[in-house]
Amino acid sequence: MQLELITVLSFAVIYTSVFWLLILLEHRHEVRYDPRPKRFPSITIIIPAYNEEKTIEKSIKSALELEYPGKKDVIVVDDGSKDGTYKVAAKYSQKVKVLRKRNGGKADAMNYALKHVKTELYACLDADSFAKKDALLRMVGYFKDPQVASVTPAMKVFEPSNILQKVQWLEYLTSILQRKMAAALDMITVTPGPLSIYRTDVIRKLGGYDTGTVTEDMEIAYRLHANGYKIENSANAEVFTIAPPSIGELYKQRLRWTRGSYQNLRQYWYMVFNRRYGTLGMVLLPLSMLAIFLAMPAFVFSVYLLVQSLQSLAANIYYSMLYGFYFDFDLVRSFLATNFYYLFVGSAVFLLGTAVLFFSHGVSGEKVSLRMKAAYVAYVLIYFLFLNFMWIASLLYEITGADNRW
Amino acid sequence: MVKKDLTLKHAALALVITLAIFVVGGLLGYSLNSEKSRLLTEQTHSIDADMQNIQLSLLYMDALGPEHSCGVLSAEVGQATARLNELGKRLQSYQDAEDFGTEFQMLKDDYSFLELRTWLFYHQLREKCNTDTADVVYFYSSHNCEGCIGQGKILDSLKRELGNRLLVFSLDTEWGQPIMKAFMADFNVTSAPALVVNGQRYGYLEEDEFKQVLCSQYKDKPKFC
Repeated sequence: MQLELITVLSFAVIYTSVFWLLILLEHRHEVRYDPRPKRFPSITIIIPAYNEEKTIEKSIKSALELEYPGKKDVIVVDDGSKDGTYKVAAKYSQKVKVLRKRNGGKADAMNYALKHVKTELYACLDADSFAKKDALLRMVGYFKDPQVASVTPAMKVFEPSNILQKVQWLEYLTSILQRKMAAALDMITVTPGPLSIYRTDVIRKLGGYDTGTVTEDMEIAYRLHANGYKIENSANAEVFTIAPPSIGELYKQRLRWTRGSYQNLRQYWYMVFNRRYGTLGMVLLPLSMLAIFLAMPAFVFSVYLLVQSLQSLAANIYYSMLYGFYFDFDLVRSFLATNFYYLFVGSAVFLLGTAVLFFSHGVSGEKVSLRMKAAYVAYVLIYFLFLNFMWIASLLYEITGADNRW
Repeated sequence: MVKKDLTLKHAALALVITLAIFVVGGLLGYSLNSEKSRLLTEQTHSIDADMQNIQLSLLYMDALGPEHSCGVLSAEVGQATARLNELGKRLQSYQDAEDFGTEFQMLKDDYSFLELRTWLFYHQLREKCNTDTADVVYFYSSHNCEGCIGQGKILDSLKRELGNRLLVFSLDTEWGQPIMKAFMADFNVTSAPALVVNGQRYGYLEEDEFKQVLCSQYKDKPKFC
């Protein structure tokens, strides 16, 4: 049983890593390249905000400071905040259009703002995010292809301070690599809240945002694919977001993301194994389903192994303390005690994981830093357990139909 | 990113590479596994040869009288048990690492038979030569045995203290041979860990209790008595 489980799980991990690394190998010269824009279509930056009095000012400033030679508007939508969000935003009403409405969720706020957009493109900038000044310039060039309806940026965690944020910083780096590779295969499945750009007429034609989903940025991405549009990505357009600093907040955020994934998979079920949707339908969605399917055994098995090894370690320490520590090393016994199949496959997983982490740094223009050493270890050894746990937890929520709001 | 290609080609290539990794890993595991059982078989055979030697010496002693070989024979039995203890630990390591098959079962059979034979020889020798040594038959189980780690550590510690004066024979209660069943029935052993010292059965023994039991076995008492 153990042999079969380890084989299946490591097969999934190795296959996925090799697949992404092959794509990277083929597109290695293009990852840091963005097409130079020939024209600068007019653009509106929409900042939807709900109880964001602490960060909204920084986001507004960031939107205003974005370099852009074309026409650029900024709209803030206060989605019925109970704190001073509106007051803070209103200070900028000379330069920014500030709208106020009854609370209805982010999708509803975006739809409301869309009615006021008069530009060819618009971008959404979450109120807890801010962008590097050249971000728009890096992204708009992709719109020269008329099939491209949205361009996504490279999201990074802003000044990670505690270990949990540092782990997320690493995770976001791998997402930058993954998203860039996904763009190469036209299978980006989320246009994240921090500064994704859209064609206004396309989104309007598709009916705006779906207010029935908790992850409207995922749903819209699926809908664009379903209607034959493309989503692009720039690994140079840096946008910074504040990562949840506590496990409780992270849990809430991830619950929303994973539940959103389930909802979208259910809604766009027909794309799975459908040749019409290219690599997305034939490769990415089946791979995602496989990952979800394996999350449960992976989690249970990893916890079992972890508990077992901790138990035997504790027993050894306990008895050594009682009856004296005695080191009787036998090379032959070490040789016999090693399962070389596991060792080989385990090394392959480790090497591929290291390669993915290494290239993630490269694609996102970051350097591997020793300051992050604890985060690397936590990311490799523990974090995947948390992510797997989230897939299981949210599946339970989805089955029992518990409430899920932003 | 200019070119968008349907990457079934990549998906297929990734599959080939992944399969290759598993095939290499599987072959490596298989060949080193064969090497492991070859190593253990060799060691078993070597101990078996010692055992033939001991048996012959016992016959010789029967014919010519104990004074001729008691000293040499005690040393040989002591050495054989030490080598058997080592083999036992190695077998355990091997068992921990692999999903074992019939080959392992044969190794385990050979090992357990050797343990029993050595124990029987030891008893003949003890009777004839009147040696001042003690022996413990330790019944353990490699599955679901809560006290076994602790009991093993206590035995290790006593063995270190007493050296050749204590002989430990370890037997897996799950070893299914008829002789084992008879042996367990004779000493009324039903679960692991269990200990038989001088024909008397005990359950889990704490270090101090164990020392007390052992003290009564020696004429020349060890320091801790």
